[in-house]
Amino acid sequence: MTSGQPADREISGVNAPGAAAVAKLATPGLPPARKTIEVEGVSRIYHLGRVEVPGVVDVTLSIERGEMVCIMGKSGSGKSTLLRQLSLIDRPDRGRIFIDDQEVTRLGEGPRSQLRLAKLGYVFQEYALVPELTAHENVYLPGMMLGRHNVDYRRRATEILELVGLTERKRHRPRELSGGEQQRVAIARALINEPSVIFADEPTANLDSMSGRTVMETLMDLNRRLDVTVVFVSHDADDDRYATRVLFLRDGRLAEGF
Amino acid sequence: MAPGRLLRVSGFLAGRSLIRGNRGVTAMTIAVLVLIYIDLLFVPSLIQGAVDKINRQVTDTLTSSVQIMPARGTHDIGNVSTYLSQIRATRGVAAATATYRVGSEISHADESNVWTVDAIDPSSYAQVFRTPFNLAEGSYLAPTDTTSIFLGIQIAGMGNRSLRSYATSLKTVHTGDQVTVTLINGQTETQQVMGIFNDQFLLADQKAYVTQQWASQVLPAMRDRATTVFVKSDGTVPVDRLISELEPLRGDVSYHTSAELVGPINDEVETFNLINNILRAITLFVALITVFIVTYVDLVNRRRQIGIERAIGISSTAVILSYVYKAVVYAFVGVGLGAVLFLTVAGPFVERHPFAFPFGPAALGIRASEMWLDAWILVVVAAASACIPAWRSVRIRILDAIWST
Repeated sequence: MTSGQPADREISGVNAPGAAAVAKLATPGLPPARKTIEVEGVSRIYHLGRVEVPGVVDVTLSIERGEMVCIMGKSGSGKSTLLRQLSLIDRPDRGRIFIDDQEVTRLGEGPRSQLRLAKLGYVFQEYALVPELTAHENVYLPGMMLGRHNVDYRRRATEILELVGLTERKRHRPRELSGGEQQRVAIARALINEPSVIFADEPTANLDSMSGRTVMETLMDLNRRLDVTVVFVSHDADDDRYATRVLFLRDGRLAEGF
Repeated sequence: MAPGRLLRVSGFLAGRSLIRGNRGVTAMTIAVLVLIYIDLLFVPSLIQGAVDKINRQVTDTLTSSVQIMPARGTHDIGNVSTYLSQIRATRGVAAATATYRVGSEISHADESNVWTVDAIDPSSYAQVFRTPFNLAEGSYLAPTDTTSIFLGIQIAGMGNRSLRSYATSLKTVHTGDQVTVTLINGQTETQQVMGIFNDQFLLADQKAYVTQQWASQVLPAMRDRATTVFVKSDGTVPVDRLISELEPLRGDVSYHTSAELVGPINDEVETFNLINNILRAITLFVALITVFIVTYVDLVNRRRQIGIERAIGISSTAVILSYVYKAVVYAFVGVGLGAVLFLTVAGPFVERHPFAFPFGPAALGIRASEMWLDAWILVVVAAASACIPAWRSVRIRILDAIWST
């Protein structure tokens, strides 16, 4: 179920200004584990009173570094639920999840928070920026929290904003930005701590088609140029063109053929 | 998580929220805390002012710093002039005077009652007590007066029906009137009222004074003797130390501080302090509820934002601390503005328009130590009351927080 060949395509939307920023951000190091995420028999059941509603059921999959994975399915099929399990925002009822070979399923809230901060980036459907912070401050907030030694998070935030084409808007607060710009700030924020994976939950759902395309091309460009794994949820069949692999969910289960 | 980083992130979030958040809410919260701080200060200061006033009135009009009385079993202190010279030469003594109780009843026309009549040396008495300067009418005694009496306003009455003891006073006596004094030996003498004083202190205003010059003529046995010696401290040594300096001078006397002599007034002070503590507890509770509600409403409105912050890896502790920071800033600004208003507006206003008490008008007794203590208490209460709802809010599951728009 693989669709699209982004590496072969012409990238638009994020262009020349970002090239220098990419050069600055690309940090050489030891080759990481190939499998970034492994999921074994994960289920998540929601309880609405006495009624049990399956979110995801017995999902097993693995995602390798550098992949751009799209999770698709009908409304209520469990796409966002699966994404939340992978991104450690929610806890599965059964099964195990490994990130960079570390089992994270049973971790307490403190270590999960630290993992989300250090290794995972998350882009919400509805921008989800802190309204009192400028674009620049929103981006560097997680960097400030992680406080990596010798990393100037303010400068890095500036470089990432350049990468997503928002240098001129860095001093603007969310209410002064368009939906597409806010979503790109959210993507920049997700990148600040050099995560292994960026998760995006229907990042274009609230955007017009032009802004949506820009956001998706930004994600695709980052995936290609920074080799960061991207897992995104979409209900738009056309979005499969941005992905290196597509996962279909039906009634909480991975569809046959995967 | 390094504490320094945690403090930096929470401080950053709190600072941006304070600067760029809802200014109306910030202003109102600070305004409430200003009022709470002023409220915290006002009643204790008023009570302190009243207590200070009582203490001042007692020492300025009744007891001075140290009161020396005859030892048990003796009626008076002999060889007073020498004793006074020794006392005045003692370290820590500003002035000293001796009095002799000469009379017990004063009458005028059909009015008569029992009051204390003391024979004094007008010069030294004026160095120890303020009474000679608190004239309501006429003038103070001269040392050589032998026909004059100096009356407290609660004895004279002066036709002033609003006086607390008017009903039992001589009612209509003014300067120049003649009154009859019954001396301790039963002899009666007529004296002219030289002046009437008003110490604005009931106990002091129910006394009358004649000169020792005259008293020694009508009661020769009292010459160079005293029923009480009053010593005014110069404030350089504590009263207890002053007493220990005086004790070697004479063994047949007893020494008393003003605090020992005003038991009923001490009871009043205790009652004031009790009221003060109750009011302080209520005010602090109001502060706690106020900050709690402000923080709680703020948190309810930001539940989704907090969920998102936690989802991107901002720790719960940093989120809680950011709200505690905000509350502490509110409290500090409230305390600062409150202190400025209290010192520059409330204090001077009450000084000009003092509160009337039975012991005289009292202004605010402002103590820096009390102001600091109340300030810190308010800051701690504000921090604690912000901490509770913030802690509760981060216990909500991230997804529930994000979905609770």
